[in-house]
This record gives sequence, C-alpha cells and structure tokens, in this order.
Amino acid sequence: METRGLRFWSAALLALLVPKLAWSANVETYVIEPKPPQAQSREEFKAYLDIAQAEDPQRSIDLATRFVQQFSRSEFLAQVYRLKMHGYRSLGDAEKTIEAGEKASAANPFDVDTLLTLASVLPGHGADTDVEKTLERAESYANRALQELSGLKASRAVSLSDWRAFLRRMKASAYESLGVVAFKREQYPESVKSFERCIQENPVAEGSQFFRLGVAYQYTGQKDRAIAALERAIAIGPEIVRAKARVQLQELQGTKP
Amino acid sequence: MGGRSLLLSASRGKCRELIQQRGIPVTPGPPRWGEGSDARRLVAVFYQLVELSPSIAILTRAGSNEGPPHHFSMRSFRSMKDCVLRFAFLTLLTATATQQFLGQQAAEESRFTREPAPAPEIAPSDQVCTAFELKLDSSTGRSCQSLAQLAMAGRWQEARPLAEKLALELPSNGIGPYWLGLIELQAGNTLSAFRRLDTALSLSPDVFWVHLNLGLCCALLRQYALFEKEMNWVMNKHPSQPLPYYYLGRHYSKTREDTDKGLALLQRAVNLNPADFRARYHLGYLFELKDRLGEAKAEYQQSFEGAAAHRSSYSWPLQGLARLHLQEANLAEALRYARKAVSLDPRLSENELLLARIYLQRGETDLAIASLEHAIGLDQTDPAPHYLLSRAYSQMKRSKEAEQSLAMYAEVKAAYGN
Repeated sequence: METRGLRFWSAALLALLVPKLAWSANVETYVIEPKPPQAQSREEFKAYLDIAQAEDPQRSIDLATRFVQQFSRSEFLAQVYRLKMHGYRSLGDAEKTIEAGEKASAANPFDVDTLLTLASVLPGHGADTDVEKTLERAESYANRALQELSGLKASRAVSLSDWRAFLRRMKASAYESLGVVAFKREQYPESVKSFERCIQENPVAEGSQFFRLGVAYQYTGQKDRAIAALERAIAIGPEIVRAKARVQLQELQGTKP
Repeated sequence: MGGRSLLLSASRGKCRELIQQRGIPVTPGPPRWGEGSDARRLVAVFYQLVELSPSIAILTRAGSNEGPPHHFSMRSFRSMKDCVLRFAFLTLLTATATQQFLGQQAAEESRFTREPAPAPEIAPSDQVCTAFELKLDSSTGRSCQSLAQLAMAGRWQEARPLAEKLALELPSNGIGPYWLGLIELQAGNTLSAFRRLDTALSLSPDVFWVHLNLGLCCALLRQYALFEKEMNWVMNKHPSQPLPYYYLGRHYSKTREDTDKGLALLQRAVNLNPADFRARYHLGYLFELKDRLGEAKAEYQQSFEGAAAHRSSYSWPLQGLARLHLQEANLAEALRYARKAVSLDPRLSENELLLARIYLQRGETDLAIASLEHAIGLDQTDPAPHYLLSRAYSQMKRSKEAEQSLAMYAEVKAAYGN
C-alpha cells in the first residue's frame, strides 16, 4: 500500500472522532468506586459538583481550572482532570484532551474512562516523528482499560442488563482503539481482528465502527466483506459516516467518477 | 474457651475433636474433594461447619507470620476468606474447591453486611418549625407544620409546592430549602438534596435538623468525611440527642469496620433513647457479630417490641432473632421468626433469603427455591440467593439449573460485589 494512500485512510479512520464516547456519559452514575474521594469541606464538594453538572464544556473546563488552583491537594483531582478532559474532547481539542487525560491518569492510573478516552484520542495525534511512541501509549492505555474493566463495580441502581451493555460498550471502545493502532502500524489483519471484536462486543451498532472495519477489510483484500461493512455504515450513519462510507464504497466498486 | 470461639493449637485432630464435642455431625465433603488426606477431610469438616452455622467464626491463622503452620484461632467470619486461602494452601486443595469455599463465604458474608439504608429524619412539626424560629401561629409557621404533617404521612409530592412557597416567602430563612432538601432526599435525588440542604445550612446554620439530614445526605453520597463533620457538630452542640450516635455507630461498624467504636456509639444512642428500635436492632447486630448472643437476642427482642408498639413494618429484628435460632439449630423457631419477618415486610429480599436458608437447612428444597426466586425478584443485585439457588438445584439433581445459577452468582458478584 503506498504511503499516500495509507495516510489518507489513517486520516479517514481518525476523522471519525466523535465529541463524546458513547459510554462516558454513564460513568458517573453506573460505576461505584471502592474508595470514593472524600471532600474535606462542603465548598470543595460543591465546587466539584459544579464541574460535574456543568452542561457547557468551556464552563466545565474553567471551573476545573479554578478547582485545581483552589483545592490543590483535593482527593477529587483525578475526577476533575477527567471532567476537564471530557470538556476539551467535546470542544474537539485533542491536544488539551490528552494533556488533561494524562494528568487524570497520573492522579488515578486505574480510571477506565480516562484510559479509554486517551486510547481513543492518542492515535490521531502527535508529531510524525514519534508516531510509534504515541501508538504504544494508546495501545497501553487500551490494554490497561481492558484489564481494569473486570474490576469495576456497578451501582445497585443499575440493572444487570444495563451494566452488561455498559461494559460491552467500553470493551468495544478499547478494541476500536486497538484496531486503529494496528491499522496505523500497517498491521491490517490485526486491525481487522480488533474491529471485528469491537463490533461483536458493542451492543449498539455504530456506523463509524463498521466504516473502520470496512476500510480494514479493504486493506486485507477482502473486498466483499469491505463492501458489506461499508453498506452497514451507510445504513447506520450518522451523516458524516454515511458520506465517507459512500465515497469509499464508490471507490471500491470502481464507480467513482 | 467461651461461646463459639475455638482454638486449634495443636493439630488437625484436636480441631476435629473440638468440632465433634460441639455436636456438629461430620459428613463427607463434596464428592469432588474425594476422601484424601486428613487435611482434605478437615476442610470438608469446615465446609460442614460453615453450612450448619453460617455466622460462625471460622478458622484463621493467628497472626500473619507467627506461630507454627497449624496454629489457628477463631476470628470473625470476616476473616474467613483469609482462612480458606491459607488452609487451601496448607492442604493443597484444588482451585475448584477453594472457589466453592469462597463462594459460600461470600454468599454468607453478604447476609451480614447489608443493612437498611438511611432515610430522611423528620422532626416533630413543632420542633422543626420553632428550630427555624417560626411562630407557630403565623401563616409561615402553619405552612411549616402542614409540611411536617405531610412528610410524616409520606405525602411528599403534596409537600413540594408548599415547600417552594415557603422558600419564596422566607428567602433568608433555611426552612424552605430544608423541606425541599428532604423532599429530594426522600425521592433519591441526593445531589439535589445536598444542594438544598447546603443552602438551608447557609441560611440557618444553627438548626440541628439541617445538620443531621445534610449529614445523612453526605453518607448516601459516600462523602463520609462530611458526614462525620455534621454528626460531630450535632453531638457537640446537642449532646443529649441520640440520632448522631445512632448514625455514627452504624457508620463506624460498617464503613470503618470498627465494631468496638460502633458498639459504644450505639449503646450511647440506646441509653439516650431506649425506645429507638432501629438503634436497638443495630446494637443487637453488633453483639451478634461479637458473639455476645444473649445480649443480641435481648436487643432484637426489644427492637421488635418497640417496632410493634409503633406499628412499624421494621422487620430486621425478626430477622436477627431468626438468625440466632438458626445458629442454635432451633429450626422451628427460626422458621417462625423468618415467616413473621416476611409477612411484616414482604418487599425486603433479605427476609426471603433468610427464609430460604432455613428451608434449605430443613431439607425443604422446593420451598427454598420458591423463596430464593422471590428474593431475586426483589433484589437482582444480591449474589447470595443465586449461590444458594445453585446449591438447592444441586440437591435436587437439577444440574443444568444449578450451573446457570452459579454462573449468575459469579456475574452478579462481579458486577455488584457482596
């Protein structure tokens, strides 16, 4: 595969970065931490709640910045950096997403939400000179997330079926990241395996994942499967995925003008 | 050697002798364990011990690196996992057998760690309204009293508009946010409740009831440092109020696992308010954990009588009495109390679960299965009934269902813990 083509498809795969990962909205309500961080004052706890409940990502980021200044020794720092990371992700700022995410991960290396977000954002980021290093980090985060998933405990307010679905979506996200990492390393068969596993785990079909699988199939010479996956991507959407999948399908079928 | 404590100081043979002295019938362990060495046999005996007296303390090695390898002492069941792991190591048990042992431990331990969750504390109407410095014959004072009456009657939805009106009428008094906080707390909206009660505290910083309910709200949010602060404030300012002792007692015994401190606090709560049947139940429960069964029984009995006098459906003391009779192998009495508990509060899964355990002990497997299925229907997050269900199905040679239940047990435990 020529380099130009590879770069194009790597870019195409990564361009599907969605503002918010499907499962991340549920983390706060679904997961019970074995040792929750303890606020030392009502002010500290309220300041944390203000960030967690802020609907505007920029406001969440600003409040998080203020929190870190005001409560520099807080047990909530990992959570606050994580919320800041999601704020930046919502704004599409990958560099700052990673910066905040890595601070969150330093404060709590076992936080699955942070690990998965970093694994998802990192492969599309970083200078060309240290691509492999970046991919190694992404891969490491995804694998650590898969390890940590088995130890997560559910809130009793969450039904077992919802919890199962939640875990499977998180697993799917980890495999998706591993698929992207493998693709960027030109390890296409591994990439296919990871994307297939991602789709198999995910209880909710996502067009972007079928699109990625379709492209990976194409790179392993599995044209029929590639067409089927891209057709699924078109059927599922959303529109940004449909548009990319249509272009790719036309190219694959040789019908592109 | 008193109570159910047991010291295995010399040999496995001595242990066996002690178990026999206690009249526990020794039958072969699960077939998969075979009839191997003395050590395996002994583990099978322990298995029986756990089955017959689920709350009994189990052998654990005394001290981490001290003493000869077979020097064990009885500790609370909380240490059972440690014991089993060590013993499995010593006796080269298979991983499967150990797993089965730990499964039993987990299923039983959960019986002793689940407790009723705190609910809002509602003050008598005149007390709360005067605490916020309202005149009882004023219109706001009357609104406050109406709110208290609605809350007492559990008519929370009707209380909301009245509380909102009060908050608008008295913007610099904490009474409106206080009632709104309780309404949110009762509805399970703990974050909103925290915000409301925090506002109430800012406006009325010296009201006992605000500190108390804010503390409870913090406990529900697992903000234990804040919870302790609020309870300590109440204890310092109102040393004769029993409620902070009650809640701190529960907190110390459960969250901090400091049974002694929990016991002392609950005793203080009971001394300050001998009619508090909840405090008495929890005090009895700690006595039970500490193997002081006579005192446990007395507290459960008084708790039950107190709840009955208040026409409350509080069934926990009946459960406690049933457990004690079960430990004494008095299955008829255990069954009587467990049935009473179920009829008093049929929505409480723990009641059905205990009933099922008694049925299992009596060999009434069909009834046990029905109770266990009911318990699962009431609480799908508790792994224990799935484990017991697998045992019940095994006894009935329904191996496929037994396997399914065991798989469910593993999944529920992995998801929610014990």
